[in-house]
Amino acid sequence: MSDHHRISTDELLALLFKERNLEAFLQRNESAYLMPSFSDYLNAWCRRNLAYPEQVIRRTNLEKSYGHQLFTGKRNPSRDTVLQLAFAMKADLAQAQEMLRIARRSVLYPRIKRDAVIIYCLHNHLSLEDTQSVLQDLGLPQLGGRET
Amino acid sequence: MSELKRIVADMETVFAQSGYPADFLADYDQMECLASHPGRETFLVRRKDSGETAVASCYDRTAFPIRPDIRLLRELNHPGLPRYLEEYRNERMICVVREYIPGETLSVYARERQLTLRQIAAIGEELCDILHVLHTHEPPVIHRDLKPENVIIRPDGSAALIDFDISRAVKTEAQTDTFFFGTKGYAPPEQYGFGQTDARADIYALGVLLRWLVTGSARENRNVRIDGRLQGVIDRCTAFSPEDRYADVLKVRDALRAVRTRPRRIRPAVAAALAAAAAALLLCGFAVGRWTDWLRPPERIAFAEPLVERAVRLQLGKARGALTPEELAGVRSLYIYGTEAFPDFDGYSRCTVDGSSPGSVRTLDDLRLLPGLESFFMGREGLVDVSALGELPQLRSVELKHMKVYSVEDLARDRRLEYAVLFDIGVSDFTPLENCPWLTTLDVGLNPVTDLRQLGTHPGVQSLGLMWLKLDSLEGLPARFPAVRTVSLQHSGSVDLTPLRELPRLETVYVLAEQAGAAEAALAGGGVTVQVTEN
Repeated sequence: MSDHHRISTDELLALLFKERNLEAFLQRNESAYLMPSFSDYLNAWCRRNLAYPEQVIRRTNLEKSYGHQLFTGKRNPSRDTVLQLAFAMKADLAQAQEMLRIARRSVLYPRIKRDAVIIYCLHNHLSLEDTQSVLQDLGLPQLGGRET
Repeated sequence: MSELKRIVADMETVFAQSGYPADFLADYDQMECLASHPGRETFLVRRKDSGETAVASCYDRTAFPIRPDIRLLRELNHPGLPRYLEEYRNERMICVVREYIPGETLSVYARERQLTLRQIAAIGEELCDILHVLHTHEPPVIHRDLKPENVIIRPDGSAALIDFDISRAVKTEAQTDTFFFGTKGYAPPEQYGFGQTDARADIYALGVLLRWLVTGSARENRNVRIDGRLQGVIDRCTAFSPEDRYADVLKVRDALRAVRTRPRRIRPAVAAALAAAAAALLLCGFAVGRWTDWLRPPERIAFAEPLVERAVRLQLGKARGALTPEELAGVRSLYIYGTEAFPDFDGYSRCTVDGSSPGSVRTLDDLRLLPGLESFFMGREGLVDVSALGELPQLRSVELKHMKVYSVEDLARDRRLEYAVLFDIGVSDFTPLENCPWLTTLDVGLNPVTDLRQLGTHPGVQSLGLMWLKLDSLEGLPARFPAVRTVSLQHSGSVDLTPLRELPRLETVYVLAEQAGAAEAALAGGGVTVQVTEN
């Protein structure tokens, strides 16, 4: 884990729970279905960050051919897969929410305990492994478990 | 205590007071929030013991004015409505768990397919059947929030109606609705307080939904031509006064069935003329066909531009041999840069102006052979006729860079365009793109634009590219692009960025290092990230 300044769990969540902040955070987007494709987003991200899809796929622990299908647009990712990719791409919270919107999946919602853990871990740049460990200790479903 | 243990302990403390019924949290994992409004939330949940997925609507009894009518939910038993499973309560909240209906929302389903008139009418008929169950319940139940997002199309194609949060049983003594619920655009005038809503409110919303399915817009637009019979049904469903609408949904269903099943009536005189013309053509055909190879197999498909053909063959993995119309219909994306074609975005995106030679493509007429094309990426060509781009029914994403196009009018005929990167294409007027209501990404960098009025107004655009523009001012940008979340302003000179502070959703501004100081000063305290890029 990196050592940069972290705000505490309750500080972060208290901030998000304020109604106006929650609204802005969720950015209810009536036209979420009007986004560019998720595969275009992934490829553009690789281009911007001079990364290869293989590197990203390896960091998510996704099955290789499935990962490639996400990059070519042949498959649409589940919500958990988007979040795994977000960790692999070292996305911050805003970028992860953007990725969920583009993949047409529900954005992270801080009143759900599992989402709150993920929000906190993304915000503080914890690794996917550490995040899974926190989820497990809290008895919550880990990322990439059974698809919903 | 390790940091991870501390996070676990903090989370336990924070969520000990979450307010949801303890037995609900003991039985179910909350997986996603599907909808959130003040006082009511809808969650996708998973039962811990069986792993079964369900949907839970949770109401804060102190904040939400209407409580769910549990008896009503139990009684409404129809395959087109989610089945009631169980409920949980504490002093603050009620959580009602219902069947999860797998599938796509109608908004997504319709967007990803080119629905025919018959399919639209069939969906409408099915919704009428479901609404009929609600409206004939005792007392009648009005859904009051019928919209594409609240209709699920199952994998087998059948429809279901979800989200009963604001449904209500009609109280005959009430004169007006106490609270406004519903969705702007789909709710009829009386739902804004002009009277009490009854079944005809759902008929109004159904009419708007049908219009959306046909035109892509909930608002009336007489410029879009609709089948006359369906237009008649929509007009009558959406009449201002409830008295002028269909009296009940079964009448709407019958009208839609007529649209779907009965051929268009042709006036006798027209029919006679058509018959005579057909007979004459038949005779000519026989006469000519006897002396020519009239019945020979169709000609081999030929491309006007070799590079477009190469790009198509790369998609199909077929370097040579004849191409069939069926194969061509399966092509979804094309990538061309300079003199090269690429199989995917990856190769295309590595090309640069300096590292490539200009190509010789002059027309995109070949794209008319590709009715399923969704994405078209092209860069570093000369003067190109792009008129074919406006005739592709599935086209959603277009990237044209470093070429001469001069006008986006043809492109703007494609109303469903979502992603348009139009960089350095010699265009000074982007207002025709106002015709594309679903546009979310617009990049107009390095074009002869000095005034924002040349860009038009785009309420849906979230990502805006203004690199290399010599804009006089950004005044008025928030009014023209109210939904923008990211703006690229590299190489845009010293234009004042303070108007960007008025963008309510702005998250990130991309600038060069030399612009960063001014950008941070202009946007200080607004929660906007100033991101520095190398070029």
